[in-house]
Amino acid sequence: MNSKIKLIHGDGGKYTNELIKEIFYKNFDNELLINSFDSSVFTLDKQRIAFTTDSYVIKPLFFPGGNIGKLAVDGTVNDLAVSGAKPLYLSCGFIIEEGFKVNKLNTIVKSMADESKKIGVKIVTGDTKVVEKGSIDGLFINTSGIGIIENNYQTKKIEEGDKIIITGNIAEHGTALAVSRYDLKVKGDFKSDCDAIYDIIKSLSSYMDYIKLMKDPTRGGVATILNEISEDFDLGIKIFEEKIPIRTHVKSVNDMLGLDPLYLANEGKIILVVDKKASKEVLEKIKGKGCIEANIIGEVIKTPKLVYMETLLGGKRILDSLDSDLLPRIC
Amino acid sequence: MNDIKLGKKLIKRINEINRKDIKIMEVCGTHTQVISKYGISNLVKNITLLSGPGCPVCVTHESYIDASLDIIKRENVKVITFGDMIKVKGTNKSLEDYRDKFKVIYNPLDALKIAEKNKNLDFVFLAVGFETTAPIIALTIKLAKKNNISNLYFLVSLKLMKPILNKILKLNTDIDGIICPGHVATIMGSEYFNFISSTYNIPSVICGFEALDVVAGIYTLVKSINKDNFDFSNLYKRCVKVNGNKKAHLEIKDVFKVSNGLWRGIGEVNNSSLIINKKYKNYDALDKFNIKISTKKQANKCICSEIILGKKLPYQCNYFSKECTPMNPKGPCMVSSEGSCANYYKYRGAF
Repeated sequence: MNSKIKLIHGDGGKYTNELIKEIFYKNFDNELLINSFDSSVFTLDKQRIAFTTDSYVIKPLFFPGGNIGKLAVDGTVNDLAVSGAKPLYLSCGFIIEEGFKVNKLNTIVKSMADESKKIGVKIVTGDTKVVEKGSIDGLFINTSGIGIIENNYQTKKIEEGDKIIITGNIAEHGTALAVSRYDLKVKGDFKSDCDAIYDIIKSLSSYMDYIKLMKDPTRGGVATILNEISEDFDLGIKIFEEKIPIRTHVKSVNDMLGLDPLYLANEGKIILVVDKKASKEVLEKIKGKGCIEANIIGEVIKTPKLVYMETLLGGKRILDSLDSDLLPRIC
Repeated sequence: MNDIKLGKKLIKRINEINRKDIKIMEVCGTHTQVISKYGISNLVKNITLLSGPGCPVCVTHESYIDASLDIIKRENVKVITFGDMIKVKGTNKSLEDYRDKFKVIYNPLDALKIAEKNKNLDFVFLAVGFETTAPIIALTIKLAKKNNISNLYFLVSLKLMKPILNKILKLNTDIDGIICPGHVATIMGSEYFNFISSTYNIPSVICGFEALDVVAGIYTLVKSINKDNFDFSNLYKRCVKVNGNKKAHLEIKDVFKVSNGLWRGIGEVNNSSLIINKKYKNYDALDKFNIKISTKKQANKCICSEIILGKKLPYQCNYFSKECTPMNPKGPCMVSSEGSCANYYKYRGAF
């Protein structure tokens, strides 16, 4: 590991994993932490509970399709949802830079309240710190969330032949951020997909025996999440370029910017690994929830033990995990 | 989707032509990326696709990066740059080590606005690229003068494609065909690349940047090579005219003059770069900050120069994917997402 923390240690790719393993796991060393995916799941008084936390440092604070407050609720709630939990309670911690405008703060907090109401979670505890001007860039928010596991869901061992489903168009959040960050004067409908996904998962309750794993492909995008799955289970994943849902606008602007949509963040999508027996039914169910772009994009393979894509032309291309930051501070 | 069907058909045709093993070089980073992204090199049989010096960031010399670091360390100065420059190491460090001292832009004209908004600071724009970016940089410099912007300077490293292609084709006679860079041809005109066929007796083709463009380019070359003729064709007529973009030529001529250029991994190549001419001298960061670009040869242990010259492939280098990765690049080809080593590392690995 490097002697200094660099921005890439925070982008959700392989260097983030290195930091987590070598510093946090080593020091906090406990099974619940090390074996957890998006939330830690444990039993409290015979009830299985999911518990998670996330900090939000997105720049700019207001972006097309949302703001840091909406994201801070959706992001944490989604981590609970993909762990199979019904999200119940959130905490929030605010670190505010001296001089920050109160009306801006109010707008942000109001959208947190609106979003929680929509999802049915309550923000029940919080903390506020104000730091000297220049110590941070405007506002950072941390939220933690707690929920109850439903339908006795647990992640299962994935196997060769399992199908990979994505619930909609990829790279919407990352692209919207890139367009506003580079101040591109391009026309087109670029908007973050920032949204809560609990409703979709709830609709799949009768298929939980077939759903082996759920993930939300945020930082690092679809390719990075698939790499995590491949590494965790020591299996390969093959996806098909022609099956990946992406809007033409998004594809074109990324071509122009030299960004790869497979590595850009999503904030309202789920990747599911599903037993092939039920994959088509699960897909139909997801589509029935309004996710008409959802698709089966690939499958789990035994060898090679890596993630690759069959390209539109029929060639093969490796999708390594994110190696360096495309765009820092996107969530 | 029709394009993809046609592309698949062409690949089948390419593979049906009965022929010897051949080597084709492309000299544009975007072509390198398209080839890797679509996995084209493992679809075409018995063809080695080589990547020449087509990535502007990769060929930017260490001493230029060192010069930009010299500037960035100074007080009341900020650097404006394209995003892919920030990770590139000079002798020791990269711009990344001075995070709060640079601003990334996509359009060079934005540099004018940044300078005008912050009159208490001096700004230096890192103007790198080929003939493609030269016109917009020329325009930016002209507008800076016209609008009396006195706190914006340019550290220029603009390279020319023709001299480096001449150098490569003289040194490497194994290359059977060249895919010419479509963007450079758009500016300079198709005539600019005519010399390849007429001087070196190998076929060449100008093509665009969709998967089908590149496959069609390879198909055209393979047909010519097989018949032992050396046609020069322009498959990118939707953008590339015979004489190119006249307005762009005028802008380049007005602001720059041709000079010897330093290429990372290769060294000095005669008449291969553009530098700011007398008329716009006041905007040259070298003068303003009294900096000399060192022409001292860098001790490069990797085989980047041989890779850029088309003599070897990335995985033939001992450092490839071991000591040399995109996170810690030893040589220029691993530096930017358009570099040939970075492309091999990222997309091909086991294939």
